[in-house]
Amino acid sequence: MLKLENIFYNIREKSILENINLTFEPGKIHMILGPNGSGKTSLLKIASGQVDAHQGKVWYAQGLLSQIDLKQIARYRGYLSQQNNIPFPLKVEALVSMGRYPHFDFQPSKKDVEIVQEVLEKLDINHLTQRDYTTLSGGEQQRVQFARVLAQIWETKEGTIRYLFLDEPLNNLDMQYQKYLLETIKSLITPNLVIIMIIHDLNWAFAYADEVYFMKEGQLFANGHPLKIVDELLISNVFHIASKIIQVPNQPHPVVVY
Amino acid sequence: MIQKKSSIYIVSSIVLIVVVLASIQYGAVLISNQQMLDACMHFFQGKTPSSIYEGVFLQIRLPRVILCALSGGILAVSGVYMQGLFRNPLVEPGIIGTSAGAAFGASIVFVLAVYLPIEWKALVGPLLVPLFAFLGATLATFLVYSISKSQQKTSILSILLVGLAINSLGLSGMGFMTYLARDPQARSINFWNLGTFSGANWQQVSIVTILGIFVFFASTQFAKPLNAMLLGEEEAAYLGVDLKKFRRKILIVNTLMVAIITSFIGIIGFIGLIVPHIVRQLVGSDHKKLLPASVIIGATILLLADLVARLLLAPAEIPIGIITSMVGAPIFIILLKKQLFIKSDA
Repeated sequence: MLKLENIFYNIREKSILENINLTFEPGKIHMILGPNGSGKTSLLKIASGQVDAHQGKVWYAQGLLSQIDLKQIARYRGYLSQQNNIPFPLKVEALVSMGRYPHFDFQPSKKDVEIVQEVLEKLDINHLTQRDYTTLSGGEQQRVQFARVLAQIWETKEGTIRYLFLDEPLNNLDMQYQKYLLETIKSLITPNLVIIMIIHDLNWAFAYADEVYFMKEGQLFANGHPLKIVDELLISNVFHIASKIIQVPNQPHPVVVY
Repeated sequence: MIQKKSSIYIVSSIVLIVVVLASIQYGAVLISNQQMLDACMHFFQGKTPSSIYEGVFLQIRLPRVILCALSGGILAVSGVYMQGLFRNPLVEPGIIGTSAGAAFGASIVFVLAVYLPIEWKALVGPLLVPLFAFLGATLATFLVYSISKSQQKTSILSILLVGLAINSLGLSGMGFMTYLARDPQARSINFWNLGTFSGANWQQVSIVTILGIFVFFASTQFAKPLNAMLLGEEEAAYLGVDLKKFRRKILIVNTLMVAIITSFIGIIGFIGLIVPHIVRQLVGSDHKKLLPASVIIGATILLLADLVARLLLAPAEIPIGIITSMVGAPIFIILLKKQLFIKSDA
């Protein structure tokens, strides 16, 4: 469980987030949507502990976020960001292994090495391990970074709630890998993993989200199961565009056209 | 793969040993193997050196070579630290003003120390130069770091430009001190402005040895967070690195390193740039390998530079900083061009 309580956040007097109250449960995929500048990334950074809110509290299952030790929390909280450039040549294998840093002091254990191997297989990037990260395509880089984040929170002590944050993870990916990544994320669902991601495409939200959260001008506009709350009125209120939601025969979920 | 990596350490260590031996032998006077052995024998037997060659070996050549090797290693490590911290291969203490700040601080003592009462001088004299160098280097580092970090996104150009300004501020401060100085002082400031090992002595060697041990232990701690920083500052924080603490620690250690070295030997630019660049090609960007390999290769390259400085116009000596700059500046320009090209391409 992850709980945000009365979160307020400003950047230079400008209000970015206003009075956010939310609870993210484990075992579900939570997707945050909203126009540019609506506070999505700030929300994600506050919930993950990168940025401190000016007011309000963030609760993890392990306690108040501001009181959890930085090294401890790194063992069960991973964050995939949008910016992924690295200034020096670095082997993919070495990069993914860095995900295990919070788990060892000087030398990775045998288990750490095994986990890296498992993750590489899980994301189907075994063939890239000896490549230099800086020479990969944008999509490949994204998958390598995702592998690193997964390795970080892959396994912890029994029952520890883990947290996975993804800031627009579908950027740079072609359609095949967008679907592949979302399927991978879906396959990660366990009762002790909280998954929160920012996404722009409503159609993916229909297909994969258990809960959606619509942000507008720093406030939470609406939230709930996508099939229950998303309609043309909501889309026009949040994004200021006219749209149509269409049921497709023999498909489990509708599509949005705009 | 593993074999290839460890053989780099072996080969570079052998090269270092050869260069050390050559540096001891060659110079204004040639010292033979027999003379070296004799000098060592006499030293351990507690006898006075029997020839001038032995004296040169023990009191001039040996401290010079050891100081040079240690300084090369430490300056290379400083380059690795700064490049890791700024996440850019173009940063090093000579370029962003740390050395100039240290040199300015040291030159203040150099010129004004004559006005100190004699009793004071005896008490704090030897410490004053490193202390002021540390203050100057701290100020310079702090200015560059805080100005370049105050923007949302730090571009390498802004770091380099701020560094350029701090550099010329430090150098003009030094110029002012030279102006105030009396003639013999001014000449030595000027020489030391370009870096030299000609004044090396055993006291400096012992201080720098202690510094080297300290840097070694610091580096074992810094390797992991520096690796995490390769991914980005936020990413490092998500991996459990306490950024504020880490930045503070590494900046203090780095400033201390540069200040002590600069107060003894003056400004030697580009070693912190050339060495990490070469070593990255050999062992990659993992700081667990990059740091130790940089020490070995940094020592080797600075010894070679010193050898050239001593031999090129022998028996006269060229300031070593001139040699390192002549090699370093073109490499810097190539790296800069490469980076700006990639940036504009993206």
